[in-house]
Amino acid sequence: MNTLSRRALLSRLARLSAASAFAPLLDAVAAPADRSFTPPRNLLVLYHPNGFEPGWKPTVMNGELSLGPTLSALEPFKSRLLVTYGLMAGIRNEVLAHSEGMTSMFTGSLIPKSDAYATHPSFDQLIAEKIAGASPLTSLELGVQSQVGFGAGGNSSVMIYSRAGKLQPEDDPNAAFRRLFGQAATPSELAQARARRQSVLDLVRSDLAKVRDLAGADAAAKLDAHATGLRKLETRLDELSMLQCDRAFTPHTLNGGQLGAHERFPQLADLQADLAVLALTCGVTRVASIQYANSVTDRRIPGVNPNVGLHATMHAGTRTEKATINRYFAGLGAAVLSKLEAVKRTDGTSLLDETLVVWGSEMAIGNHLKDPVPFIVAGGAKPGAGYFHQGRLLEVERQRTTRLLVSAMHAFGLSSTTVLGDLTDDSSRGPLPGASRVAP
Amino acid sequence: MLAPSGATVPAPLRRLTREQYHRSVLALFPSHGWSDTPALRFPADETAGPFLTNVRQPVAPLQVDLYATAAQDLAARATATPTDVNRLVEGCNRFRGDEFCGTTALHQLARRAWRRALDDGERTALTALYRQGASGGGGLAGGLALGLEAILSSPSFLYLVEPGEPVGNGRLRLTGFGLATRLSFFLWNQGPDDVLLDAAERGELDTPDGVAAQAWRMLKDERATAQLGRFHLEWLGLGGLDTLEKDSRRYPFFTQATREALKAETLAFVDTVIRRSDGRLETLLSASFTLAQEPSLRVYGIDPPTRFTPGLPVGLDPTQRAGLLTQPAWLAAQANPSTTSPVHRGLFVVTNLLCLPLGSPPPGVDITPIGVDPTGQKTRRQLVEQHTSDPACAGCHRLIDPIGLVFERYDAVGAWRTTDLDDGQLIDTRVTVTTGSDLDGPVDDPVTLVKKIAKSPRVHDCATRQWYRFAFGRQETAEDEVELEKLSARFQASGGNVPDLLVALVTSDAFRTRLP
Repeated sequence: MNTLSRRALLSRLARLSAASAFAPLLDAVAAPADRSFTPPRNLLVLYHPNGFEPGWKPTVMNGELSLGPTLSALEPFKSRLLVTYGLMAGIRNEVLAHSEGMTSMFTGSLIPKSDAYATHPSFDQLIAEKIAGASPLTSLELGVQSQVGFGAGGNSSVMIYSRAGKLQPEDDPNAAFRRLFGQAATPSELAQARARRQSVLDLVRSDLAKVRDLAGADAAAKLDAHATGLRKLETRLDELSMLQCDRAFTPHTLNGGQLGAHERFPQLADLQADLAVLALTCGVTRVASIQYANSVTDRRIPGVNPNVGLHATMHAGTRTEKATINRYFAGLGAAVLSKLEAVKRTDGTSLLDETLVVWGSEMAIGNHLKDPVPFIVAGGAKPGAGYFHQGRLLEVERQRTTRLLVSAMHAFGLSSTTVLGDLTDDSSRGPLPGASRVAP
Repeated sequence: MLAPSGATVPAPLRRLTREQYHRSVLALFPSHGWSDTPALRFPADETAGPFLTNVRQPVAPLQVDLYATAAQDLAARATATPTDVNRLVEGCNRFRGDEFCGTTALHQLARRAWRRALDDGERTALTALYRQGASGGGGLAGGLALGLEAILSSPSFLYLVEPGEPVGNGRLRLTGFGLATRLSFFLWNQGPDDVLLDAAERGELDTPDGVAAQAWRMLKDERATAQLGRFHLEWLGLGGLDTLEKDSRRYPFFTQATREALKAETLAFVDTVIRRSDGRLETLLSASFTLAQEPSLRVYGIDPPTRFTPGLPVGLDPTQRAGLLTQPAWLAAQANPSTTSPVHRGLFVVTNLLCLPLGSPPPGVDITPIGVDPTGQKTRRQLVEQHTSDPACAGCHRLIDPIGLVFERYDAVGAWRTTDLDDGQLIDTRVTVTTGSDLDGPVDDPVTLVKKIAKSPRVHDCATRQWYRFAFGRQETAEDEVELEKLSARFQASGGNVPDLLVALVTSDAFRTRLP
């Protein structure tokens, strides 16, 4: 047996064991003795647009963290937070444009043209490669009016990338719910659905082969991606049918136009947060993200910025208008943490204890500055037991946001990672100093 | 046969845009009377230049799932009632039995959906699917549904496959079906109709004359109207018009009805000039009439004439209005919510009408949008002119700003004005245009500038390039330059006739061939 095929065999064996139910146990046995923190079970990535206005920085008085007016909604969770202040967005220029901020925020990609997509996978997908195992979905991308209005579809409206390319979020909670849990209910319905799906897929696969012959040279990679999607689809129905959990979810009754209506933003934000929590609770996926709007969003949210679109307000609005928007998004983040905390195992462990929340923005403020970009890390372990040193404000200077993401990868056991994407200079290399409880 | 002198260009595989999926589905089920399809819920499309096209990134797992769900839903919807089923098998002699009628319908639908002839294996596979769906009480409806689900899930439907045949020198000439696909998505933004597929199958698309005959037929068809409109909306940057925001305190009349009226006005004007008038680019960019509805007449400051019929031509003041760049749709789209944005308007003309590529602002500069001088000392024009006094900005802004300042005569929703609402100053639009193009020189007012734009050979050259990007659904490469030069020369020789340019484009070597 030559080396190559031996390696292929070993990697196949590794995949097999990762997919088995005993994988976590094996991991634990193989862990080095000095590993003194509990890795999170899940990852949840949050994004809100256009950062926070100056003055959001929390204060520390006699060792006590005070979150201040912008982040006040997070006060109940402050012992579970690591709030960073001073991180720089990973962009080439001093002045940050929307597209660069969005493409680099979670991938570390430096794009050559302002309309290019990221060229590296985002950190959550690298974590998913390690922890997804046999989850029906490798990851779940949810959006809240992220693909409507100004900027829809452009690179300013996408933040998550797999190795194959962009992963646009699903903005419709009903469609997302159906994707998560399917429609078949009884075993006989399931058997019938499976038989039908198999026949359809057989024809689709042979058509895929035909198209491969007919289309030009560049088609191969695109058709490979399509085939990958079909493979996931094929197995999902079986995996979903084995899930044992309470799937309580109140679907919305909005039609297509209402889904994009400005005044529905809060309702959709709430539903998508419920879905993300449900998906993690039921083990449909271990990696999820919620993208609130996008970097150039024109959303007008009732009671927040009813007259002028969100990004335009973050540019030209008054301090009060901007502060209202900031507090609104801080509140959405707090609501997600509450929902995670409310899910308890019988031993009292909450979903927040098992889920690391990484929450960031693509720029410091609406006027395109690149620092300080707000990045917050929450939960992920029982208090004091995780990788991150929480209940703190961590002030840094001239450090890229990607260093915090590298830290998050270390928290999931990807301890050989040093950089993300194209960002390899000294301000981007290695985990973020001071972020961890167990590492320098 | 193919002239060996032409350029052969790459053909990256395109995936249907949302609108292409939507229109293709509606065309498959014309008698079902649908108006909505699941495509409107798919993730947003990519762009190449200003145009929507899914050419760059591979499909994401989410989209594959959505395709599967959509195919399942559409198949169920198309076969929901006995009436629906009858629509699918219309014209079949029902005495020949359900299986004959069902499989015949599936074979016809697959040919239309996949835009090519089926091979024997595919016919057999669809028949087998029909039988599986029809079994266990599924009947005709069940058989059709399962077959349709597979047809709509197939890559042959979801991608714009353009098959070609080798013609030597490592190049491919598109087959009749490949050309029919390219042609139909260019002129109609949906798959070919049976007439075009039949012409392809008979070999009529193997000659430029045959292609031209089909192109003229298709341009006369109503289905071309929407596509000509889409080109101009995307070229003019009006894709976001549906959700365009204006400050409701300053422009309370700018409601959804206004947005729709502005868009309808531009679409009606484009269709009238191209399909019912002289068809010339110069007319599009300089005519002093419009086809307005009441909300946009308000922006023009015109009281609706007595017995006003929306959609009929209305003469406009020729010293204030001339063509697309003086219509409220474009002027409002290229402005901030409560103020104008000379930089956006100027940049738009430079990039979309002159095709001059500009980079991003250099490192270290302040790119905060220009608002109102808080000290009240400077007019907006003086604030804008700071760009050109700063050497770091001047490189690009000496191209952008003079053009933008000429359009200052129009406010943030496109109404004519003489003073700036914010600084109370009279607006001075006298500038010297410096773009390195044939627009250069002193200009006093916007109508003089847009008339210069309308006659400019540089703008005609750029319009040719934009149509080319639109036709191929991708940015041009070095290989395209030979063909672009020929097309531009022909466009100018025709006096800028747009339909003539489109037919020249679809009969060009570039359109009829591709790289392997």
